Amino acid sequence: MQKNELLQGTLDMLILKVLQREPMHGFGIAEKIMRLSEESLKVGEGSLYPALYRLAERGWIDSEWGQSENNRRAKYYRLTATGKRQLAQEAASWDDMCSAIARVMKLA
Amino acid sequence: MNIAALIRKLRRRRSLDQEMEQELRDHLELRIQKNLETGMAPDDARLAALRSFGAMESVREECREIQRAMWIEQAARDIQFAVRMFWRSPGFALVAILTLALAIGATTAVFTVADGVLLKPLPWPASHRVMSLWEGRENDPKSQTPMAPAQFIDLASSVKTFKALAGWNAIGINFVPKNGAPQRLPGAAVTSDFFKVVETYPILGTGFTDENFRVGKDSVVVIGHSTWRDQFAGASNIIGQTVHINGHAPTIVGVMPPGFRTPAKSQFWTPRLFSEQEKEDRNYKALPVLGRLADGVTQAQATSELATVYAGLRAQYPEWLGGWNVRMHPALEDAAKLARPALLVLMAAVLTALTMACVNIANLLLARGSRRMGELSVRAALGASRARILRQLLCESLVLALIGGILGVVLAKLLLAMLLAAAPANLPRIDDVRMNWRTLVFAISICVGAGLFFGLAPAWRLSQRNPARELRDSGQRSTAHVGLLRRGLAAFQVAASVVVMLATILLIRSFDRLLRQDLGFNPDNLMTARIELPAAKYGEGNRREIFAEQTLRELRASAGVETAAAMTYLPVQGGARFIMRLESEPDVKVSEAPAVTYQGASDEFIRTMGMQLIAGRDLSTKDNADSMRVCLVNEAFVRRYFPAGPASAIGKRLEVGFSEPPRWTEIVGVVRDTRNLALEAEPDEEVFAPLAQQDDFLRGNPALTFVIRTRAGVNGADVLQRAVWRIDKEQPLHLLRPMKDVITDARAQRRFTWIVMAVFGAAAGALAALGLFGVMSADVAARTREFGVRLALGARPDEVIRLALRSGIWTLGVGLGSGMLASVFGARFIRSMLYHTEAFDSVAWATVCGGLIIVGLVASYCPARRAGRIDPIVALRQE
Repeated sequence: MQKNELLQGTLDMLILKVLQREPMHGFGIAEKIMRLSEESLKVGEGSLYPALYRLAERGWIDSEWGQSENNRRAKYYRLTATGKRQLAQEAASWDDMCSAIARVMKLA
Repeated sequence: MNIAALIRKLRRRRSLDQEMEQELRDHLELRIQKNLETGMAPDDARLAALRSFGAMESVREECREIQRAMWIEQAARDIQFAVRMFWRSPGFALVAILTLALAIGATTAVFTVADGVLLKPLPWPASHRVMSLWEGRENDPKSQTPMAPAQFIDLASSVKTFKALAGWNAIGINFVPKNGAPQRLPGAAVTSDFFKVVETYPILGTGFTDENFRVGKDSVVVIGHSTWRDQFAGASNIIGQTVHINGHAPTIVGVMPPGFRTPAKSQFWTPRLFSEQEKEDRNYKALPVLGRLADGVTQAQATSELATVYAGLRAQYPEWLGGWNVRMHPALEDAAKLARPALLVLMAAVLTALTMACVNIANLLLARGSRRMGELSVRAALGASRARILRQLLCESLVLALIGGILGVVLAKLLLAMLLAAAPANLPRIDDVRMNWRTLVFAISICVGAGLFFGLAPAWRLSQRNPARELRDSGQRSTAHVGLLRRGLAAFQVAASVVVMLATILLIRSFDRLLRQDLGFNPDNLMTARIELPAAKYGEGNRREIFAEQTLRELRASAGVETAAAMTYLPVQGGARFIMRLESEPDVKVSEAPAVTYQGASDEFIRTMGMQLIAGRDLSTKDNADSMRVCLVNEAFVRRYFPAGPASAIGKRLEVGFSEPPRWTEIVGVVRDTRNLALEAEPDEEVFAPLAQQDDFLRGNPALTFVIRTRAGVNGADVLQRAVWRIDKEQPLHLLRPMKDVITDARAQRRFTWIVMAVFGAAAGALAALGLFGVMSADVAARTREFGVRLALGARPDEVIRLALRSGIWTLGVGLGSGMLASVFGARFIRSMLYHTEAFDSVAWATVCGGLIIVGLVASYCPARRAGRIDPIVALRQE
């Protein structure tokens, strides 16, 4: 599959998941998603930053200015407690839906 | 997003924008670097980066848009959505909006009256600094009488905590315009600092000077703005002209600003001079006093200074002032004292009705919400947070409330007009009642409050559901909670109606008792007219008696008149009270002497009024200024001073008003009690003296009331007017009206209260019934499956009905119980408004409980019946 169009909600879920391990800045998040998906999911900045700001509005992630690897200032995002809960919920729903779809594909 | 983050965000708006730009630039730099690492040429790297970035500005804009408080746009969207939803279910929206409009309209209308009468400041600058002063007996904190001029003069010259003190007396003005019929207008005689106290001064002319308060120099008058406009065509040369009032021709020295009618709706102000006798008689308590606090002085300081000065006076004149003290209240409080309890009860009733309306709507919303679970679950699945859904639902409630509120304010204007038309004319400050910014603020607040009140509970409940589960099954588990909430709300409504209806019925019974009380006289075909004779013409000697005699002769000779008489006051209007002593106790101190109502009357007054003589004889024409001093007393007087009975009072002597040597008056007859003072209090002790023998202290303001009893169908008003004008054509008749009207007016305030309460009582009952009905219907609908199973398993329909009925009966019972409990606590508030009726009147309580039980059972039964008619197959298939 080439460029998959990610549903807005799914992108949110991916961002939350990526931030579960450690706080990261925007560029790092996009890079990580691309790397983990083996270049399948290229997140454009036009979708990334609005998603990040939306998640921040909802209180699921928090932001802070810090030092990046090459000693520049960068804005880091991290997961909040509510965000952790939200991630767990969404991951569970995603699993449910996937197995449901898989069943239909297999049995129909 | 929590509050702290929101505040932080709003504060750092600009720097956040800069931060965003910085962040995006950083990202761009990192992308370029990455591209360079993969081997692109620098220019290509930059171009490629920029391309993948898209238009940076639009990204920035999108982020900014999100950063802006999202909720403003969401709110707009919510409102749009809410309106669309209501458009689609117009039935629900209409019911809710109309209920709200009625409730908010009624509440606002009653509040406007309460505001105008109780809350609005008096129309003077800084009116909260104006106090009214009284004297009162120390052992009775509630007693208060106007001040004696002697005390006023002393206080005015000594106190420093007041900027100014002023006394006033309302006087009737017989005004004879240059061409036109004589009119009667209200006026006031005021002391020199009066205008300083109210801080309102004439807009034309100089007003009174100190010279005007000397004997002989007081022939001046200040007139009111509307009189200037209407009677003098607003002539600019008004100052210096003379007017013909009360037999005098004073010069006009001032015109007051428009709208100034203090005190007592006056249109004329004249100087109040004190006679030598008034300056010495410390017992002549007839001067209402107003005072303006000096700047920076507190009420407490003023009260204590007054008390100190008065104590000094008391030490100086112990025989007059022993046992008396001075009292002070803010003038605003006194203005509305009588109306306050009635208005507060009305406010409570109308707020209760509003609450009940809100509860009904909350129930409606709950029911409707359950049907929207599908839509709400999809929203949640698409990413709406719980707060978001809550906000949306609340928005719908607020939209409902605001629409209802706008309609309500319009309705309030209409209701206000109706209220004012029905209100008693003597309700204080009723002329000042109109809608203003305060009422608008009130309306908006109850609107928003109502919206939150009825919206919050359902919204909370509905946003709590787990969306995924909802999409899958029908969420049976939470029905129980919703059901309990609904039933609780309905029980609350029943309780509220118990309280309101009980209050209503108590007031109705109280009024009924009032109507049936024995007046002590016969008001049929009795025409009355009050005549205020100007002191200039009639103050001296026996001029008043001659006038009365001549007029009575005319009246008795007129066709259609059966009897005629003259008195100083009508029985139901109360009269002046004076101290009295019996010959058997001549040494009682002035300050401790009891008071009686002292009346003057002509011969035949008993027969004319239809009163009853129970001992001795009536007054006759033989009782004149030269014959022995005689008087009549009433039963109340006999009960208090001659417990042995009326016969024992005949021949005893008394004196009203103390003189040295005492002028003893012999009691020659006893009459039955009549009702005094607005028909409510116990009858006062009364003494009736012949007009010719009344003492001088009543001559300062000679006034008479003529009463004639005519044959049925005769126009008594005409007869009276013609007779009076034949004797003195410059004499206007004041208050020319049948006795029946006088009585009706005296009852007006009570009547008004119970009528308005009855409307609310009925509304409350209806709302409670609706509430119960709604609860039962929803219950049956929710338990359809259960009933279906039971019926399928062989239960009889009436058994199922009984089962359904149980929840209704439970709700009704809880409601009745808590309502009665609340009434027990609330009884004390209404006690002061009841006349001869116990707050725990068994008939009232039985009526209310019985009525509500019947209504409640009927309201529950109809939906319960539906339960029995459920088709089990349909019910089971519903899943």
